[in-house]
Amino acid sequence: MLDPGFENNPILVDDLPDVSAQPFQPIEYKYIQVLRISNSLFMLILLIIFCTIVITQIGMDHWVFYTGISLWVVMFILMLLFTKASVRNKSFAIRTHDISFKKGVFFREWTTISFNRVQHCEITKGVIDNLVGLVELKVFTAGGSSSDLAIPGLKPDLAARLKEHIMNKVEYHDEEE
Amino acid sequence: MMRRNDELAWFHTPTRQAPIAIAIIIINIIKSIIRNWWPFILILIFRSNLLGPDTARLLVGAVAVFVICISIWQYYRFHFYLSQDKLHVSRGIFRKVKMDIPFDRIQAITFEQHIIHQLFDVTKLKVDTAGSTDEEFDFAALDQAKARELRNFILKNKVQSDTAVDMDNIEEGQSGATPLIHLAPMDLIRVGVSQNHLRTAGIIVLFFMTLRDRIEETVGDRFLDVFDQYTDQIVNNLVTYGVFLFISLIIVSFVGTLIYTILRYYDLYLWKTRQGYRVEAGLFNRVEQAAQFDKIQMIRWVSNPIRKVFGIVSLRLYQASSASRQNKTTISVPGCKIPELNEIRRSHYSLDHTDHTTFRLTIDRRYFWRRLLFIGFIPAVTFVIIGYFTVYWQWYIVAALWAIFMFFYQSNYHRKWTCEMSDYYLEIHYGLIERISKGLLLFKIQGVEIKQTPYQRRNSLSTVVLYTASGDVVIPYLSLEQGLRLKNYILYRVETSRKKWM
Repeated sequence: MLDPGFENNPILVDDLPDVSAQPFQPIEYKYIQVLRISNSLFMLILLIIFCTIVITQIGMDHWVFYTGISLWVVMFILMLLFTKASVRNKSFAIRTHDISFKKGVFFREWTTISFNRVQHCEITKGVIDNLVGLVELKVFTAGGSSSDLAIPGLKPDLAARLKEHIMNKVEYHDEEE
Repeated sequence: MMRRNDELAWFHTPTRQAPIAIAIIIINIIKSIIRNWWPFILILIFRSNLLGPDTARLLVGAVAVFVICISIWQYYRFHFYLSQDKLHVSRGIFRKVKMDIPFDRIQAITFEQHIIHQLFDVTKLKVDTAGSTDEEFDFAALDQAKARELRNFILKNKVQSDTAVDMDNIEEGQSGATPLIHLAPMDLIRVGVSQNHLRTAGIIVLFFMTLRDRIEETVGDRFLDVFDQYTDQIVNNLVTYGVFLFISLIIVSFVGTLIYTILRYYDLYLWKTRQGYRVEAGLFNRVEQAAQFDKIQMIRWVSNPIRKVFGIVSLRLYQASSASRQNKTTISVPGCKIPELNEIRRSHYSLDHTDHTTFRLTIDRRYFWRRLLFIGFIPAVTFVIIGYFTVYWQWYIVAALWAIFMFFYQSNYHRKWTCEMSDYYLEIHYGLIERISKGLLLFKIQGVEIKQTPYQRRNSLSTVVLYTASGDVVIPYLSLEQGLRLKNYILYRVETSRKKWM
């Protein structure tokens, strides 16, 4: 006996909603400060280690010291440029049924998670995030952490609204199931 | 009635754990310090000249004060409460974390009591959420009565009560029913023979290579001379020992794998029950595992030339579970015969009930050229450069042979990389000598990722990664257009699906 409401129409892939057509919203540009502060701290530690070793072992008046310092300066400038590009390339988009996040300067990644597969959501902020006044929204799926989304550089109120929205969607799907 | 509500109200307001939790947190921190720093601690103890007695005392004192402070702080930062349908936890010292876990995401709540717990009549409460490790947490110590109330409240308010019923309760299948797969002793020998012994031999060699550092790290250089003496002998007579060593390595690895196979898979039975699969195996330690059909996220099977001759594959059924329990919940059947595999595939994809027309996705030819460049040509050029500087002409021959071999190898590798999909499932098969296959149902996918390297971006190519609750499927070098269509289609399948997927 066939269910009278049963239909099985062919699906035309070209008519499906196009995930690439949605407008992506960039994260806060201020996030660049978070990245710059944390990367600078890392570079500073590198510099201190390098200087301590070189000065105690060979002395300052040596080509190794000058080459090292010049390399460090070049790396620092590249880091500043890279941070800018990295922040510019981070963006997210929300559709009725899923959330997408794009990142990457050279190696691009674009992940989409359907709301009915989301386990839970979390807002976190590190010490530097706190200084700048930004937070990170994490969207967790089941199993390993490989498909989890983490959208950094969001304003706290936007992140809270996003979290609320996603959790409502998750509950809505659960009720239907 | 009012009174009862008042009594229950404790968990509706933010609550801390039992105070004894501080002691348990201290013990946990010390355990983790020892686990992570043991080589360093051993060195500090045995190389006493590094630290004077006063410095050592000071160091131990400082660490102790630090650990105690951190533990107390951690205890005070940990709050939890229940709303009607969620468990809310806030914790963390430097990184504050707030979690809201819907009850129906909670897979299991288990109690554990160690000696300290028993002394103080408290219990450790484990909340398993089938989520990532970040989401997993334990209550270090809760009063017994409170813990029970908490569990009862959560279980009562769970939307899907059936997730609480684990497969452990399913008793059918053993008596009377015919098993789907049974491994007799002869099958086990076949399994042992067809394992990848070269890889095992490689692991043994690696172990011996790192052994020297370990000896030095732990017992100092006293025994190092003895070790070096033996290795020198072996290296000096490499030709004589070499062949002997190789053969004995293979034998050791063969016997080792055989023993391991027999111990672990002896008398393996796999039953198909109404709800899922149930497997029982092992010689001394018989392990029982179960997997509900819903929870199986991916099937993976591996074949190689020897297995092909025997007509078997090594099959694994991956279940959704929290990251740390993944290995324990994977069902592994090493000597699965081809008809049995096909039966499992047919039932997993429901091939008997739905119409499946399959089509193939094309892996772009540039996948071959990129692999040839990185694995073939770059090493070949390196050999030529070595030949040029060391003036050994033999290097040129090695380079030429490597390049030619890689050309044919990579060409075949690309040709045999297949991705087949229907409206409901997707299967990939790759590898030349060891052939790996993975299969999954489209609606079980929980995330789709499109990746592009700079090269792929210039050439409008993409790599698509499909994430499930237990493992990923990577499809390399699809045209960007095909990748996007695949992504659109899978999202459509996932988002319109109302089936239970976990």
